[in-house]
Amino acid sequence: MQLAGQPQAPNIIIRGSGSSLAAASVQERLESQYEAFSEDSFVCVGDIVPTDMQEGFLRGHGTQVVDGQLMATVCGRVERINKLVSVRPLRNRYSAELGDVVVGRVTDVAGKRWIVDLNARQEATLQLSSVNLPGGVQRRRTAEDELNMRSVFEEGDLISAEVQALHQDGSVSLHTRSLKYGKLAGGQLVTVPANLIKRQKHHFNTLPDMGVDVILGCNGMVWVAPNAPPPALGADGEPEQAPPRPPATREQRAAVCRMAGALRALAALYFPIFQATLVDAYQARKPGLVDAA
Amino acid sequence: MLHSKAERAYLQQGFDAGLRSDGRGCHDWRPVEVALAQLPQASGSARCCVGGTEVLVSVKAEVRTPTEEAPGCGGIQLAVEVSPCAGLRLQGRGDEELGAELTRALERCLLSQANGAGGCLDLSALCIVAGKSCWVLCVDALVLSADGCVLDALSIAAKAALADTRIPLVEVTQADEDGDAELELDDDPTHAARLDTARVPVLVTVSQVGAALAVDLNAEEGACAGAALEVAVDARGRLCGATMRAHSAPLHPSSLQEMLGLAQRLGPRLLRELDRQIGQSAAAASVAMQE
Repeated sequence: MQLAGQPQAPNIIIRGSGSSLAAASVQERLESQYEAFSEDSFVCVGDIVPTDMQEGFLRGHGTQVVDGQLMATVCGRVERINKLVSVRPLRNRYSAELGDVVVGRVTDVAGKRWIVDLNARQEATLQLSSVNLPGGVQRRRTAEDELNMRSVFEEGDLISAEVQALHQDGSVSLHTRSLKYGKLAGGQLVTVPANLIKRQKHHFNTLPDMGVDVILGCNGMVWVAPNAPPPALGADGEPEQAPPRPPATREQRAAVCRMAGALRALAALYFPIFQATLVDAYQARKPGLVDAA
Repeated sequence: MLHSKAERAYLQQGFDAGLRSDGRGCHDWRPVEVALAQLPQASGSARCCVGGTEVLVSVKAEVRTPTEEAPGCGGIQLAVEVSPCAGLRLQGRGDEELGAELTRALERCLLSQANGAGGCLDLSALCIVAGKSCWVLCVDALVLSADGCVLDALSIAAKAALADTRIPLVEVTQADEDGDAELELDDDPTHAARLDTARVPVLVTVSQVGAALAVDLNAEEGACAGAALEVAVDARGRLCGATMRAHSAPLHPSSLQEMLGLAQRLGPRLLRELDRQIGQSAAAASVAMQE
């Protein structure tokens, strides 16, 4: 591991000698405080899922009944909700739920809509009618707006949005009709398994002690950026469109790096990610630590 | 890969501030991991990981007839293949083209002339019977996963694989008066000749990102880099060659000097550590073999 700033001799490791140093300090700190998924809650394909003497269990996703016993059909973690026993795969694509806060990348601009990649099975759509146009005015979308769609979002842009509707064919519609949603800039993206993001009341986390804002997208895409200045209030008391951020200072960047490293460490440890674990992982990491991919 | 303007601007500012997205400075490598003797069938092999980039290099020694231009020398043949699942999302025959490009770059690093003479390896040591038979080293590289800095990783793995190479000892017996020599290979693996790889250089790709110079760019950072220079540097910091990367942005002569200087400073540090690790693991292997 090396510190940023002073160039040091590159460290070459012959395989098998402590490659997960970065994660170790985080693991130590978190396991003393939180209950990680217990070892025996993980099953592999063909494993018998213990049903704990329950008389009538309900067979959920990822399981199959073989000779009266419940058998896992995927590798993953056992989830029990009352009588329902299901196995949630370790690595799967994001499946959207109504109201989820997501972070996605615009891949295409199509007629009256944007196509957004969410790491889900299908790409999501964001209709022109479900965004706030610049200036915040509520009006009908004209043909002119349609021609100027790239001035709102263009290909490659990262956006935060909310799941507006789920359709029969499995496709997802998004909306950004709030000032907290929209284009993301001045920070970095970290992608973690979507399973690790717990659905919570707040996915926009402002951590003033560390000076970072974290948007925990339910689809596993997490946006880390320096604290945004508080929104200025307009003449009518309503918050105005946020002004462009000033470029991050070195200290702010260091904090963002450290938070991104904490996220990667949590993902490497397969630890649930929410504000409390994030703060602990951040504090357990030494500043300036570099990850091995 | 798609990136937004804002992401590129943020990365760019990171290089200006000397702090990259993963906490590295501009002149820092990601952790470099080298493992020797990965393939039992090969004469020598090595796997090298630089962050998310992973390459595998094998060396196979074959007995062939030397070329007419250099009857007293052996040869080296290079081939780089890019795995279709390396994560590059190339279209059509893009992976083959990239493989050919990397092969040429590696050839320029390891061989100095078209016939392989005068390079960093003593090819005359590979000669068995002058004009009749010699060893040819087939160096085959496979890019398993690409996350930037592929060429540097290839050169590190190639050097490690050559250092790991064991060439069987050969006994030449004069069979008949035609002069056709009969070769007898020693099949004892402990009795094998090793190559002298002390002069083999390593490639350091120095990239210009805005005003800053940086090494070991990952795929994301590579997307916002300007000019890139592939510099071959040996353990003493001597320049063994430099090539502008294909499709690179134009370069000002003053920054060329600076880039070469940076590679000359950083290359030997990388090589020292690599040589130390190769020495250690070779010593461990020979102890294991004797037991």
